Amino acid sequence: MAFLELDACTLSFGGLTAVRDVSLAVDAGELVGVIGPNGAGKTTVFNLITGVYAPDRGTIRLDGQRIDGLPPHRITQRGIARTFQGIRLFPNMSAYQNVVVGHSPRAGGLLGAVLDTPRAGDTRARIAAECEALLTLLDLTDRRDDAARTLSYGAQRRLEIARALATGPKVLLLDEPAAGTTPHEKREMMQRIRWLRDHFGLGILIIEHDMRMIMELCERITVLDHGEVIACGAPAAVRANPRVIEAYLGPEQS
Amino acid sequence: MSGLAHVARRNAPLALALVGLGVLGLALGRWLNGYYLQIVVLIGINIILAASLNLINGITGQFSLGHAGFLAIGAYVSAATTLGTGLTSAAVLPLSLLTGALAAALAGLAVGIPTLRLRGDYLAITTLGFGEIIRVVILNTDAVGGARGLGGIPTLAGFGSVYACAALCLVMLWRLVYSQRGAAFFAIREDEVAAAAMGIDTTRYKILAFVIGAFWAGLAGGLLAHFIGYLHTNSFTFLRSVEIVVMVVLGGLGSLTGCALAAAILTILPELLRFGAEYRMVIYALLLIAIMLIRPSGLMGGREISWPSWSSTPVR
Repeated sequence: MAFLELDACTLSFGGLTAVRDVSLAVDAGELVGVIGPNGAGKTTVFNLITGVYAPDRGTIRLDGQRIDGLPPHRITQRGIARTFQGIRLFPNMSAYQNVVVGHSPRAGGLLGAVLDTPRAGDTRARIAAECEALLTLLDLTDRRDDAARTLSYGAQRRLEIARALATGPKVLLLDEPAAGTTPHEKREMMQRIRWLRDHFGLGILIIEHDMRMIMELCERITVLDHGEVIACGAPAAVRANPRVIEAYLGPEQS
Repeated sequence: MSGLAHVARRNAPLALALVGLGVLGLALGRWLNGYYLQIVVLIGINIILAASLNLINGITGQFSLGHAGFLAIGAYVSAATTLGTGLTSAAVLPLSLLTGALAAALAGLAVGIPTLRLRGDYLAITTLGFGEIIRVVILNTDAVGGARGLGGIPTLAGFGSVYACAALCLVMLWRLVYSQRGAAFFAIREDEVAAAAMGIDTTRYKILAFVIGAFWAGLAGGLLAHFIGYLHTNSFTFLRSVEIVVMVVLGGLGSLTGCALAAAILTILPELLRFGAEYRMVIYALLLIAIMLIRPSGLMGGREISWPSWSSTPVR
């Protein structure tokens, strides 16, 4: 059984079925891609996994335990972190503070902070060091004290990843991590994603529109169209799948 | 034990400052004339009110217009406590203040749980309604004087107790929101969905902000009651809530030192403008508009005036 497993999940908004019978699995240390045309339901799948929505039918399990129906903060605490398609940083907080927020739920009690106990001091020092390390890891040290909204687009994408890593995840969900970045940044991002997987042993689920990037990066790819899984497997097999070609290019003219 | 000793050592300067304020208060009471002393003390009370509302409005980003309601609960409950004990010595003051503050905090919890599901304008309207309900209930409660007002409260509070409370309030809020865990309060203001995705229980933090804010507003109410010695519901109208909101906005949303500064300025300003007689409040309003045009994000614009090192390092 895979570490993160969606089993036949369905979600409807009124009469519109956004996601139908979607099954998906990510194991520790695995890079899995989710692709599909616009509106195929990719981000909705992310929202199901992270608890923004609860599935109408189907189950989601993390390490064998049901997590569907839990509120988002509980799911994050269980070990699933995400980035957002339209970047959602804390715009007026510094890069460093953004990362600190990721650590916040495990940062010791509020009372300890108010009374300034020695234990609070120790925890504070440890977390500060971890946050600095994450900023270094994602090449953000020189922007440490700048408000998140003043960072370049690529830096904002990196900060979102740093912030997600601060929550101590086992599975990382990346929603178009390279969208709107330069080709050079895209290259760097790919290397970085591989490195994160290897270094932290993370399971990574990634939504991306750049076909070359996703084919090169992922071991397995799931293709969604109109809320349904139309193909699933190794990049080469997915690329050759006639249903996938049809979904992207339209049916063949005869 | 070494842990306790550490806490004592880290907080000793704070304790010393509080004692110092008490002594200064005694001295001021002897030398300063009543009119000036009253303004200075009211500044202290307004600092507590502005700082506590800042936690809710400026830092957590939940727009509340009901702060006068918590102020009223604290004022009336603490006054009733003092009058109930029949004591007139200052020893009863801490007990009364705490009772009033806890009653307000309880009200904050009761109001917060259902209303914090609402956002923006809706939350503002609901809290506004809550404040008015409190006022009308007190107005019709004969046990606390009703429309006649509640008089004969021993005047036990003065400069020392007010500024000791204000200092305690500022230090506590500062340590709370500039701790690593407290960064969650700002995060909720910035983006609630992203905050939840960081593992933050946003509802819990919003309620916590509401309860702590209400606690300090209630304490300010108790101080007010024991400073003036007379309470009437006219002092707790919707306009009082707006006044506190103005302090928070003028100081810069989210800046504790900024709102303390704004509380001082906005308390002194109407007094300085007395030369303008009937045009006083017109000038006051014009000045407010001018300040907001010159500094649209408040005096401090969300930043803080630097703070003594013993307050523990802010997350920067």
